[in-house]
Amino acid sequence: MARPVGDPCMDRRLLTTIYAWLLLLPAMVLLVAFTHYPTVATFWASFFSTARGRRPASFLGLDHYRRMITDDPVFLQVVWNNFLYALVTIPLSIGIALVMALWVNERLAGRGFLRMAYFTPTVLPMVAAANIWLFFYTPGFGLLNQIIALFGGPDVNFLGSPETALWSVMAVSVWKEAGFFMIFYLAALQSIPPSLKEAAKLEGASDFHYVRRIVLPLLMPTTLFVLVNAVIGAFRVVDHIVAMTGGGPSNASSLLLFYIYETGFKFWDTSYAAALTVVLLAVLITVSVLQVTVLDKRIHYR
Amino acid sequence: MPEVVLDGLTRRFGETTALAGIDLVILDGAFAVLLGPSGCGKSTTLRLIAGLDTATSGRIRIDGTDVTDRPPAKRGLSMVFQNYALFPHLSVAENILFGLKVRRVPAADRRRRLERAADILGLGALLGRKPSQLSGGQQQRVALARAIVAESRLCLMDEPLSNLDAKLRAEMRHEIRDLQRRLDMTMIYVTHDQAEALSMADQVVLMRDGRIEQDAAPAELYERPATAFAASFVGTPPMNLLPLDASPHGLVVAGTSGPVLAETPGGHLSDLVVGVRPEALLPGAGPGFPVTVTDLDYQGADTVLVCDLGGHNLLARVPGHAAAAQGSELQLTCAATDLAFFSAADGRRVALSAVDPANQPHILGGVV
Ligand SMILES: Nc1ncnc2c1ncn2[C@@H]1O[C@H](COP(=O)(O)OP(=O)(O)OP(=O)(O)O)[C@@H](O)[C@H]1O
Ligand SMILES: [Mg+2]
Repeated sequence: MARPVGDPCMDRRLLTTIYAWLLLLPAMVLLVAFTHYPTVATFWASFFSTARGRRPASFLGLDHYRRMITDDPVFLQVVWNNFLYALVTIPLSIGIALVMALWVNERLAGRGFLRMAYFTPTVLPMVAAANIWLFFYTPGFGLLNQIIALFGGPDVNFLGSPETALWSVMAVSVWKEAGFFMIFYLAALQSIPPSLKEAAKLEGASDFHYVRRIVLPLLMPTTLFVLVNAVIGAFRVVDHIVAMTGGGPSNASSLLLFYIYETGFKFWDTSYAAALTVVLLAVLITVSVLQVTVLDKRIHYR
Repeated sequence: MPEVVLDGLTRRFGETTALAGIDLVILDGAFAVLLGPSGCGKSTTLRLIAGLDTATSGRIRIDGTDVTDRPPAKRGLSMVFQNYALFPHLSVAENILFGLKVRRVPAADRRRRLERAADILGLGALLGRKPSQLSGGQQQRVALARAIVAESRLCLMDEPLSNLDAKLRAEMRHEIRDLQRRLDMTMIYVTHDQAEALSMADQVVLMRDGRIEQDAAPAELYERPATAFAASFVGTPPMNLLPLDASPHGLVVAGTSGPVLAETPGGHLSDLVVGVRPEALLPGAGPGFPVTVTDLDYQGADTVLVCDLGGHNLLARVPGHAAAAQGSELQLTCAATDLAFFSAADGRRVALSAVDPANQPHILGGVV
């Protein structure tokens, strides 16, 4: 029984392939175990009912998804809240970040201090930030109410009334995100050679014209990056909702992820939570794909 | 007429003095080159003229008007930056037209000027491209085009050719010079390359440590350097500078016994330096500098002989592939008019009556 003599070239290629897979293995294991498998499992679970006590899970098909649209006003409210949250906080925090970055990029006294001051909120854990703001918002003796009282205004229960709760939470988020995005803009601004500004000045362009025609277009790739991050962030926040309002009053400040958390781990309706998660994932994937395909083409000039 | 006058122009950055009171006149239509080693203040001078930087003291006049306090756009000049400063997100055409759009020049006029500039610089086929899709030389041309559509009569350039390879640089030198003549512009051009300065300029302003060392036409700068520094900065290789010593018959190169290069001056005979250009030295049959060839540097059209003269290095540039072998001894000779004398203390040129190294009357009459 003679063993067939292997082609040495083939052997080597096989070896290389095995090496490659071995090198990929650790990362693959982590990704599969904690990202891909849970995603598929969630998707799968969303078609079944939640097993309770003796009653095993039964196949429901699209029932969960039907329930969201026809039979779950809280879901609709939460989606609306989240939509509003994204629509307000994203442009606002990006806009503020841009203005702050342009401002602290100028040569001015104490700009190091300003940069640090703007960046501080980012370094704080969200829960710590939420607690600081909890104090600002406190009815009666909170900072904001003291200021309002100074001008003779009425006491406002920022977090406790349905009209103001969501807006108050948004303010915290803008406050926290803007400093973070500013750092990206600052880095991008510093990569613009100063001679571009000088060239523009020589040609008679005003500061405003320079920012509008040169700086903003050159910052577009950064804006896209920040935008993707901001959108994903807007659908992923729970920390400060948990710490400040608990989604209340009567779901006025509840967001999608927080609702998923409540459904899954407070009401223990895990398969409905799975269906909600699938919706969240679909939103995020759609947004990212849109941004990377449609916007990317119009932004990258290199 | 855009004549540029600098009057006691000074710029300090904290402790460092980048420019120490410069007085300079650049005539209308001249091609002036600011030349000097790194850090001597060339860019600072140019940026002050452009208005991109503010002088600590001194005045700048362009065309008879004091522009010291005017913003860059109001000085009627254009500028080509060392890194070209093209806007990376704009096409070539948009880059060239940027300034005209800012100044609200009518569209028809813009089109005409763009066509002309593109025509002059051969950019017609590239107008739709982005700067990143151009070669270095093409980018350079776009920067030039942007400077000339402004149709300002004064143009400033800061080392515009330093990023290009040798061949392209030679080509662009010629093109820029030609363009300046054709459009009748006044040009102020910064470079640290003395060969570039000599080949392009009508007027070379040699700078050192924030001061003007010499302001002269290229031929004068080369033939009659005003200081030892000017002598050692210009020429490839630059002028030989050798310390002098007194001998019974006159001044000789320190460490040698002859030839005598000048009569010993009355009074200050200490610390003098003699300068002679490498290309003025010829290996002759007759008497001259007795040297030993220590190295040969073949450069194609000619060869640089590295020689030893009384412990000093002496370079001689001789045509063709030199016959002299390494280690051989020979006599290098030159004319009396090729000798320049400088004070070692302040580098200033000193007028001495030179003696022809090949024709030494005292030796002929005496020792020999
Ligand atoms: N913004 C600045 N702050 C401090 N010092 C400066 C500044 N700009 C220039 N200098 C100093 O001024 C001097 C002249 O600088 P400048 O840029 O004019 O030199 P240069 O002749 O253009 O040199 P190079 O050939 O290297 O470009 C240098 O000593 C430099 O260190
Ligand atoms: Mg410079």
